[in-house]
Amino acid sequence: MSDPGRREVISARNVWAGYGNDPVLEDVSFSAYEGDFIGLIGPNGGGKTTLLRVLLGLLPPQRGEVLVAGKPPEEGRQAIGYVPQAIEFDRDVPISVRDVARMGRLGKRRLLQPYTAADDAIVAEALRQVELYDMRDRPIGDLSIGQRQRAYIARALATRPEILLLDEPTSSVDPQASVGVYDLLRQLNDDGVTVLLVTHDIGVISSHVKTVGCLNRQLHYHGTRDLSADMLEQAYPCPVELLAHGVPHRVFPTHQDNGQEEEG
Amino acid sequence: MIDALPGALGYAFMRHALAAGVLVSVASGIIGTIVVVKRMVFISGGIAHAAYGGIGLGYYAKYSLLPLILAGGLATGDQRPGSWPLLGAMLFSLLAAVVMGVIQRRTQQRADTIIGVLWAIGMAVGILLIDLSEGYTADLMSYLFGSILAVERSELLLILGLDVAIVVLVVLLYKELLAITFDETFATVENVPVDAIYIVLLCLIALTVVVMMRIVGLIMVIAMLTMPAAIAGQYARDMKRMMVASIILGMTFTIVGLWLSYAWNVTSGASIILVSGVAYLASLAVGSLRS
Repeated sequence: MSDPGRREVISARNVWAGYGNDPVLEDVSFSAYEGDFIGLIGPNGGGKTTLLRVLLGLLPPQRGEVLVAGKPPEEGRQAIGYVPQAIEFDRDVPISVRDVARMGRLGKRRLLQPYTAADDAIVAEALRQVELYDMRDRPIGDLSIGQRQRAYIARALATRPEILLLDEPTSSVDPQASVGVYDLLRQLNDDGVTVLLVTHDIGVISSHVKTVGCLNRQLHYHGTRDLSADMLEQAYPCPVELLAHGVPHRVFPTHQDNGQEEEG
Repeated sequence: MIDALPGALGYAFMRHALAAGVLVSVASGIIGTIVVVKRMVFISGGIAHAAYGGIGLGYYAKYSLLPLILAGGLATGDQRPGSWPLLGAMLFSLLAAVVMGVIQRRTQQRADTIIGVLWAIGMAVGILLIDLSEGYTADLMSYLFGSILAVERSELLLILGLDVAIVVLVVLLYKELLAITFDETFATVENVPVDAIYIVLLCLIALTVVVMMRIVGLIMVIAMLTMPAAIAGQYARDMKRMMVASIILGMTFTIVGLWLSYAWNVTSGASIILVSGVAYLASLAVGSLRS
């Protein structure tokens, strides 16, 4: 599990977190190393978003310790490019794609300090990487969900992150666009960016990431490529089809209940 | 009717009224845009109504406390409340802005209930303090329905000062304001002091609604704050342009409303709101025809 050859960029030790008396994360421990490409899968309500909020310093853990780039999350998140889920009812805000991407430079500029030409160059490059440069002056509300997702990725890239953190990067994107998103992530990962994504979409994840884990309140992550049957069974109480390279190579026994619920 | 306007401009009170309308439109266009885009209409209403408590406090201070402090006689010569109610309203609305903002930030749920309660308490305090005040309180209605025709020179300077403050702050904090308007979570991750900027924004709303109260009155403040921005929002593709368009629309509605009120001898605040309202409905109709 430990990998002394590479730098540890995320470390969670016995983390319990949640809202009120009901912990959503129970005793979660894992490490992410520089250059990792980790996909965590789990059912909705299994704590995926909660884990991201803890890593981003938005939700203090009830117990345990989290380090991001060797620092507490509130400081360490400077190294993170965060890509939230793009949802259908995003606000109809009069703001251009470029202005959205430029928010990635906020953390590098203090209050009262305007964006610089260097910021604009970084933003332009990020928009080119996600192939939205030609749409930079369009209002964000005019974009399709897939394009909006790429705009959020551009915003994360504009932070020049060491770590990319993605929440359901392809949940409301059509399959073709989702392949495009993963190709881009793969390319960024090849360039040295550590990628950690969470999703409930097993099919698309396992053919693209380097290592996988299952999160359903507890985390089963061993830094390996393969999902073991017991990992999945612990994470999923419902039927699961596991696909690798587009071909189903394991199918787990079908149970009757299909108790997935929507997550807020 | 059309030639009534040049004639009307011969009066100082009309020139003051026009200047007040134009100046207030700057503040309300900028702040109204943020209120509409960030969906803060309810909390703005709360701040405006809580400010009424401050008006009561202003009256009470002027007519009951001040004579007491000055041992009678000295202050009673001047029957007019002067700028006391306005200062009281500013104090109260700033207080309401901070309290409501902190409550909204700290509590996960029911923030709208608490804001609604403070809204009512503010008004009740205002009414009681006015009841307790001695002397002349007849122009109280002017705070409910506005009295743009009674704006004095000192108040014009006050509004101008507010405009300058708002423009400077919004320009300086524009990138942060845009960020918290669009995505507070991301802004937090980028270590923007989201809560502090939100409270500053609420204070700007507080000061804006107080001066607007002078123009269209407490009851119609929210309408004047939101309608120009709501019209501009249907067409504007970025927030800066939406602000400029809201300012221009606000000025136009104020001037047209003022002119109608002069020509027909009707309440100015109501005619300004009616002009805005008709324009807003027309813009909705045009919008639905286009799509």
